[in-house]
Amino acid sequence: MRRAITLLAAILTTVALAQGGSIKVGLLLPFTGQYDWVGANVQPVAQMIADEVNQSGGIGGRDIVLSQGDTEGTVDAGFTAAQKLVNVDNVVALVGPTSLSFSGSKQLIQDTGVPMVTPTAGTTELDKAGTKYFFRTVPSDSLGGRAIARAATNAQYLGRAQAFTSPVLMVAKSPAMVSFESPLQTSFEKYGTPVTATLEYAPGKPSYRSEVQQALSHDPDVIVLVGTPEDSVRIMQAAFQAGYQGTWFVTQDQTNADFIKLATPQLANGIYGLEEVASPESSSRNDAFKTRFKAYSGKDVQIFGTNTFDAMNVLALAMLRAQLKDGAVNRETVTQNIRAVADPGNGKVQVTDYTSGKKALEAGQEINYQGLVGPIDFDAYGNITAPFAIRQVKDGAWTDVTILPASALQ
Amino acid sequence: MALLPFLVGLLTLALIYGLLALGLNLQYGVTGLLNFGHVAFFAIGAFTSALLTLPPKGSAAYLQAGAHYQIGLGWPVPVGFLLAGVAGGLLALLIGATSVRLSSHYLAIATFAMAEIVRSVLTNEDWLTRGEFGISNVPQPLKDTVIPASVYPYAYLAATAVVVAVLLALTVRLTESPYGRALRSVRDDEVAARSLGKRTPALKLGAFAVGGALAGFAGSLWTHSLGVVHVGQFVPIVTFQVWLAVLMGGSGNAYGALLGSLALMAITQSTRFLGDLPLLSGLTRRNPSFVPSLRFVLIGLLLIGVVRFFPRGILPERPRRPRRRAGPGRREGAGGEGSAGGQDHGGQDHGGQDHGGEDRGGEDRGGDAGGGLGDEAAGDAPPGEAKP
Amino acid sequence: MTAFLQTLIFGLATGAVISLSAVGLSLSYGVTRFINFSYGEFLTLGAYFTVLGVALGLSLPVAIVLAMAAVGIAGVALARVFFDPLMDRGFLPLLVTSVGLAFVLQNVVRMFAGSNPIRFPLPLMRPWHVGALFVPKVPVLVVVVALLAMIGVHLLLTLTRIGKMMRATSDNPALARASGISTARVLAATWFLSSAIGGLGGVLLAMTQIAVQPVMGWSFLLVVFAAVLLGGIGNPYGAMLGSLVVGLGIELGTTYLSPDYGHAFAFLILVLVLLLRPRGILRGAF
Repeated sequence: MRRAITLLAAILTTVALAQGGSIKVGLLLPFTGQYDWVGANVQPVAQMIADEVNQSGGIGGRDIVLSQGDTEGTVDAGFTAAQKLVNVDNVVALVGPTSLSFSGSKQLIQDTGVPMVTPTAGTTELDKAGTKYFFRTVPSDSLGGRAIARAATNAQYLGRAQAFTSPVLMVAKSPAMVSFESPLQTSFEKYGTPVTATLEYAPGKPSYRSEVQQALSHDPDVIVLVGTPEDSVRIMQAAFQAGYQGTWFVTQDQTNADFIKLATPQLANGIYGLEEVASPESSSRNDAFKTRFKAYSGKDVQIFGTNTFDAMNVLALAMLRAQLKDGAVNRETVTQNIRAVADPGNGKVQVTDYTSGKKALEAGQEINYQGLVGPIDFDAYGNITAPFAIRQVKDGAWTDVTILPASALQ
Repeated sequence: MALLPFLVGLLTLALIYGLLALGLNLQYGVTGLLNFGHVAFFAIGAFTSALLTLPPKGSAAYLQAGAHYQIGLGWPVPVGFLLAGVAGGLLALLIGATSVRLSSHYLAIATFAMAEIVRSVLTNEDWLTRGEFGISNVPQPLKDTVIPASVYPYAYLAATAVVVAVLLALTVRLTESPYGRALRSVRDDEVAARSLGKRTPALKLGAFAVGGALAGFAGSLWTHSLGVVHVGQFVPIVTFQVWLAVLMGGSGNAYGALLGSLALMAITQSTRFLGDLPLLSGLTRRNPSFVPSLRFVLIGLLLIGVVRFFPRGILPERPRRPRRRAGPGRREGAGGEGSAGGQDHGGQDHGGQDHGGEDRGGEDRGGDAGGGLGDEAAGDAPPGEAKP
Repeated sequence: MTAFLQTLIFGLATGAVISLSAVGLSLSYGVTRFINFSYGEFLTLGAYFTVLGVALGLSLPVAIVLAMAAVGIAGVALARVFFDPLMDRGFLPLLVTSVGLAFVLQNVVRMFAGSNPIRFPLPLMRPWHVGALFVPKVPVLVVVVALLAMIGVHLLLTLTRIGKMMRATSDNPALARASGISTARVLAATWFLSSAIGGLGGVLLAMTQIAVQPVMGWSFLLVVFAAVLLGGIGNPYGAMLGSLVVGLGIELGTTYLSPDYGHAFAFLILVLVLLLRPRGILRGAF
């Protein structure tokens, strides 16, 4: 016991000493457990930006260092991980947490005034919960749901002759997914085609045959499928094997290359998906990001990759501005500068990455960061809006069909 | 580095888990019940306390927070706390009534299964619990009104420590009393206990209920400390963690249960700093889950090590007043060391009960091949070992 | 009626996926006498080794066989290191050790294979049409493989020397030892067999689940326990029966009662059976 305490003291001392020269940003995300892929997807992108910052001289000469806080996909671990990041690592900002671990860490974050930018938590629970410390670079599921309903009920957005007339919803019962359900139902109703049936299913089941059977009994022409890629593939396969002839509409979580690989191009062919895009012109920036990330890490961009790009850029630019204008990079200054670099305003230079933002800031200008996911303008609660691209799988790849501007979602 | 708030936060959580361990210790360490569904009582306590104390639907606080839950009674937190214990006890009675007749392995799995059923119900009945959304306006008593937010963690720790200390004292009182001796007699030799007139089913049920009540109290403490309640917390791994705490600390010993919980927290949280070692940062780039997974590998190995090399835990059960040494004395050959968690008291006083074999209680032994490798054969309870 | 038959078919398939793992676990329990919480990791390892084998260029059947052998050997080795030294300490230390081992194994897989789900290399197949019924191919394949494996186990237990020794040891270890049966050999054989079967069970699970993930075995373990307990712990034939009951129970429950409660039906059945027949449907131990 005594040895353990000595060891702990030694480690903590090392940690304390090492802190002197760096700015720590905490990654409060799951790296093990049920949602282990979330942390694994976010970290490399964040690291890529951190490297970009450090290679150009850091923030006031100090390097950004990322610190992992594994929330393990449970509430308590979310709490202890946040404790470690906030009180021991003394992080200046947090990337994350996810919807579930948020419940464990919310009070701590609020009470200690640490700014958090989450690229993953789309839950509608956060729509009105935001205090001045909460920001997110992922649009609320209420928007995503609305977008799907809007597109599905309008042939123009689908790129086909007719809109769908008999939609069925299948929504996973997990913190990350449930909040799609209500916006989907309300929006479908609002746009004139009420949902024929809604089915909630338990995530992680080996077989979804009976759920699929129930869904098919309502004779849908499109099934809106909200869930993880693995569960989605199982459901789609079960439907395939049951002879389903209609198509599918999935959310941002499945609209990526990995999903097609998992499902096989044959099964995924023709399905519709949703992706946040900044503007019709931004797809080239998106491609540039994908190329850059591939060169950096050797892997493809995964779910939450673009959201993380925006989150980390906003944080880095906020820290830089804090350094330049306030002379100090701490929790309070970073919190205040987040809006300064992200929100629109007269005379602001629009920038799309750290390097160009740094150039503008150092030249004395004000900037307005435009992200991959959207314009990244935070409302009073820290939410963003985004136009959405409606996509469809053709020949084994996601292709653009149309763009849904934010105005179409009113 | 704000080390103190860090330790305070962890200590509060460790004490709450310590209370859970205290309850399990009463069930297993003292009475010999293999309860693998402890987390269910934790859950019931948390939700009871939360739902009873949340601001009612439609009230000012509810609207301001933009809440969506259906049920909130707005009662004072102490009431919620007490009723949480009651709820835990009642659920334990319910679960216990169905399973106390079962012998070891079956009891273990049955309680495990029932806890999963409870969790399933809590998840699906989202009108009650908000299911996967959780409820996040659980009142934190006196925060910002009497006690400023900055010192609240310290105040809450103090309150938790007091509550746990009181419950610990009461529990120790209970286990030292004749009732406690009766419970231990059930653990040590149920057949003999019954032959001496003890009503073992009632005793077991009682232990189940008290242990469940303690877990219910823990649930209340937990939800008010975080200000949220979410069904995602109450997963089987929590039950395992409590078991680890009990076994590491020394089962049969109430103080051991608390100590084990502290030790477990120390082990799991100190490994969080693994990633700060400079050697490992390169590996993190290639596989971000590498270090976090390594951490669990270490925790697993530590667990295995503790069980292997500290079978009695940190604080084994206090030897009782020596009794006459019965014929066969220590149960040798088949496992005289006793299982982890110290039923081994040096052999003399207790006659060294071996926990390891199943079907100790002997209810359902019958034709079941109770033997295992190196275990006693059926019908092995030497008479006269129990202490009424 | 069609729906009912359909449900039955899928119940059979679900039961088949569970059954192999349940048989493996039962065999192991019969000889080692403790609940092995790391057993699910053998499933995970079997699936991952297979994926690895195919990625290295082997054909799927070859990869599966090699994976089974690898998991079998791993099982023996792990038992030697972690479980054998505790064998005479009673079942609780073994149980806790198995939990620790589960943590270790699952996270070692995650350390090396990463967290993202990997597709299991099985091609997509359209179902057969039998009258008004859809009979998908994967469940049929699973049922066939499971049946063959179980027949194999049965033959092994009844016809071979080592099988008879395993049964003898499970029935009455003291007597078995007294008649000269080497406990160590039986232990090793049991571990090999039970782990290898678990590995195959993991492969079947991966076939129905499409993708493999580090948590797959651990998540599935509870349902396997339910089947084993249901059938009477330590009795592999009981495990087969228990798996069938659990599989049907899950499918019938989710079809006719409520799709929300999936696995909970398995547990409900388990609890009911335990209350009525505390030793399981067939008595424990073969």
